[in-house]
Amino acid sequence: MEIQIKKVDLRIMKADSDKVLTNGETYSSVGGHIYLGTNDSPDNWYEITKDEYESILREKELKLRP
Amino acid sequence: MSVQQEKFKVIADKIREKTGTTELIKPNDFAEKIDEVYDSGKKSQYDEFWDSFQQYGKRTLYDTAFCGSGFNETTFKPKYDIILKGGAYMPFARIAVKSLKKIEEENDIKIDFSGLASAEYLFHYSNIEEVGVVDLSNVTHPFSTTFTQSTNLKTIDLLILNNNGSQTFKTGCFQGCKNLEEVRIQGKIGNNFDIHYSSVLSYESLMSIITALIETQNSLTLTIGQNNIDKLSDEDIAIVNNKGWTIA
Repeated sequence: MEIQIKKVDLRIMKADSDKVLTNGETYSSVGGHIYLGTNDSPDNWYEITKDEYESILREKELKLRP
Repeated sequence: MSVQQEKFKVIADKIREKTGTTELIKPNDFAEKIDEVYDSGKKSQYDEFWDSFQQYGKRTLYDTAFCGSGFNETTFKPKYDIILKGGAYMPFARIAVKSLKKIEEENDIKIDFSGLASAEYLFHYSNIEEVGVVDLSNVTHPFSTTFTQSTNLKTIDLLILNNNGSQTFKTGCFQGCKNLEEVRIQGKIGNNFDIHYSSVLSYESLMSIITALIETQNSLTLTIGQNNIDKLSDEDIAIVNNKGWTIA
């Protein structure tokens, strides 16, 4: 019998509770975490306010109407 | 022949004409046969409508064909396979039907999406709760509104994408699909994929999505939202990250 111990390294960025992380194209949840892919960099991500995020979502939703 | 017998013969001839039979019909059977005349009339109207609407099975352009709440379980009874080709615009948008799978089973037909080059507004604002196999592997137009605001959608049995990961997904593709729990993916996801509106995805659904992600040297993002992230183990997340994908 053998016991293996594995360690998993994750690069986690956490938004402040009322902020959203974005790279300009994709968005975290409000106050959420993102887990960086191997080719991604923290420099690609920045915070925006919840209000800014909701405004962006509203604009995207308007564009979806046929 | 008596006058009464003549009148009975006229009635029987009429019944035979409407039901398409040549059998002998006795007066005692008239009441039962009247029901057959009614059913025959219904079938005749059904055939007339669907033969024309589906061009005897040859129709492939279904732009807005089943769009709207008028198509529900009572009215949506296709006679022929629904073979969608090209850029069908809103074919099932706002449809009132709850299950396309049941429609296929009950009417013994197949809905074939594999010929679509565009899936714009495919199920936009539909009432659908479950779909079976949706083969979108030949779609070349970005998925931006395919399932938008299908707020009752719970299950996609199998979403088939192409095998090279070239298809693109916009945020709106699953926008509003807040009840989506089960989705299985066949094929590859090779561009940013956002399904965060579906915060109640099962673990199996998340793993199906993760399995479909290509390995990339670029930096791509899988957006599933915090509720779904919390269902994954650190090892699951590491698998995604090591494929070159950030999870948001």
